Amino acid sequence: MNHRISTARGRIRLSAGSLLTLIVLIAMAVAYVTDNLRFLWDATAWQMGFAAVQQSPSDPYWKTIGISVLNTVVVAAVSISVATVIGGMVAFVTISGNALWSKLARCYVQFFRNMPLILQALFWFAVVSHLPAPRQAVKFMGVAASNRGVSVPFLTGEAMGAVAGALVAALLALCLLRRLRPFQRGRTWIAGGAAVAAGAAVSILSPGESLFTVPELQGFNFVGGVHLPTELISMLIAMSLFGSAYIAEIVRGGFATVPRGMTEAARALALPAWAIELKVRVPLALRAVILPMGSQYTTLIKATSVGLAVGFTDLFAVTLMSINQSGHTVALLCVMTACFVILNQAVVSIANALNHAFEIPGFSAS
Amino acid sequence: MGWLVFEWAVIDATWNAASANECVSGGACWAVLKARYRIILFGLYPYEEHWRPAMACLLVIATITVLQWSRLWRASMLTWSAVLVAIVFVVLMRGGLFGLPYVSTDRWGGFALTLFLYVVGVLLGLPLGVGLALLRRSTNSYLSSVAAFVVDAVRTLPMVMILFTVGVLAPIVFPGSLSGDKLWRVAFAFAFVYGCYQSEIVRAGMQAIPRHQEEAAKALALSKYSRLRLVLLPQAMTNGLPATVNLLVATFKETSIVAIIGFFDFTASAQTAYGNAEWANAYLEVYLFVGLAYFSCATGLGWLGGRLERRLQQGRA
Repeated sequence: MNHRISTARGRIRLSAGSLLTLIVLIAMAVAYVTDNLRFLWDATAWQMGFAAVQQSPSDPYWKTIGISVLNTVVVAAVSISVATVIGGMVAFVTISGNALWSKLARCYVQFFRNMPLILQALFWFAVVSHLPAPRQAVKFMGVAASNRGVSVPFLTGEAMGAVAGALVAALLALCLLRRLRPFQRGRTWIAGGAAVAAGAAVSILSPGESLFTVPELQGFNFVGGVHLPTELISMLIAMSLFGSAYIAEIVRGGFATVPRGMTEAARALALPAWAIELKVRVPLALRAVILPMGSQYTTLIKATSVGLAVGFTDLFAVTLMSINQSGHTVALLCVMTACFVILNQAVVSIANALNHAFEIPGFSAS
Repeated sequence: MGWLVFEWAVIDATWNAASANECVSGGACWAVLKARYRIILFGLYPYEEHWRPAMACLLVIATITVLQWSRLWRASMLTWSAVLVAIVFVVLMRGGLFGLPYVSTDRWGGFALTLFLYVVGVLLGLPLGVGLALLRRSTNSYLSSVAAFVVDAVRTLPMVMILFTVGVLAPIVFPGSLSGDKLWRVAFAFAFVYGCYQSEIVRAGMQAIPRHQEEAAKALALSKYSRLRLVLLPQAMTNGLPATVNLLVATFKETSIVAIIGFFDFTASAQTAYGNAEWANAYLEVYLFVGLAYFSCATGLGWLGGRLERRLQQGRA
């Protein structure tokens, strides 16, 4: 039963999906014309529990709902990234060939896949809210966990500028090199050097003392760093672990599709082990991974609505609050539907484009 | 590490206590399960009638176990036993017949409610999925695009939202016409969502059938209905079996979504079980129990599906 990749969910067809988007947009336009969406410009008069950016009770509905979309995106993006990293590692352990470790990795996948996400979210919520009070918080490498949530050290504005500068420099270097000297070897090294130089330059040029803000106890709470309230951290942990189990299966299934002959041929050419993995097996496995991965990502985006169970103010929860407060049920449901459709379609389109980009001549796309 | 868990769960565990504060040994406080297992299993169902949901759950589990016997794997046998079990289940839970006192659905809860949603969802959803798949493949372009739209719309939206709309908002928006029992409405919505996902599996299964199969059936002068029943559907279902088993397992876990919209299902009643002053610190034990129960159900279902699959593959090879 482990030899399958879950493909039943997701994989929404683009044509029908974009038709749906169109219909929802038209419905919203009609609703707008008939004055049914005017309430979106009224102030909400309530505050969200967690908001990715500052939100106040005087904000209009459209802004509050927009912030809730941002909340959903933040949770989905962070947990999808973490889940992909963990899932990839678990998959590699599974196929590593070591019997003990691969058995353990299998157990990990089975364990987190076979329990409902809500149950996992509620469990982590209970765990975090049973932690000691901030004064007796559990501290580990700058991370402080208490019953009010978890505070983690984070980059200061200056450090983020440095990182952005480094990324831009690396990209520029890569593009330039590709244009000027197409056959130059070691492009990555030069680009990396450019990145480090740019990062260092930005951090030296801008005045400031430290690159990290570290949470510190002041009064009854932590100041500094980034504070992840209980509901956010429990959602993040639950979704990352739950998603990683599915992603591990997808990646493992992808590697199972790599023909054995390819690996053997690579070995016969005396390629080093890292090159066999990176240049032969990974590109071949990617073909079978990208599409199911895309549908798994849309599943995870939809799964953020489980956050309501632990009081996380995601798109679904905020829509419900708005319905409660304003009474515009149908209009708000339309708005939420539109948001979900657009989010999911974006992911599916990216996955399709990537799938197209990674097609290998001579191998029919799976 | 394994030893630490064992020490916590068995050696240092407390099996009898009146509240979590009496669990001082540093190990697991299993006493909470002893004190609260009825809430976890049956929710708010009237205490003296608990034998009914217990019987109903046992019936479902027993049926699934008996159907292990592969001699019984015939389509008619499976269909009739499933329908019969569902009817007996509902009669036992609901009462009002054969001298059983009537218990309204808002008292249903715990594992029994989870099982109810699952049984209703799957039994109604499967035929619906087949129907939607056939509609989507129909040559009438109007019918097929409507089916495609409905299926894609349902699959794009989170299930919580659909269940919430049907369960909570429908009676507010359309008073009178769409009222009726909240639990049944949600169960039907659940079945509908299941059907939409299932229909994609059936459709994919049909696409994988070589075209000559249908042509051969036509050459034998089989009617359209017989072609479907004897040639196309059996092959489509077999092709889609791995995906169906995945979906069945996922659906069992997704019944827990109704906890969000205010039902006392297995997940929600776990929260209630430790959610009072006496047992507030015994959350780990309760979640462990409920989690393991979900885990074993899901694993069991997956294992059964795997057996069925291997069996059918033997038959085909």
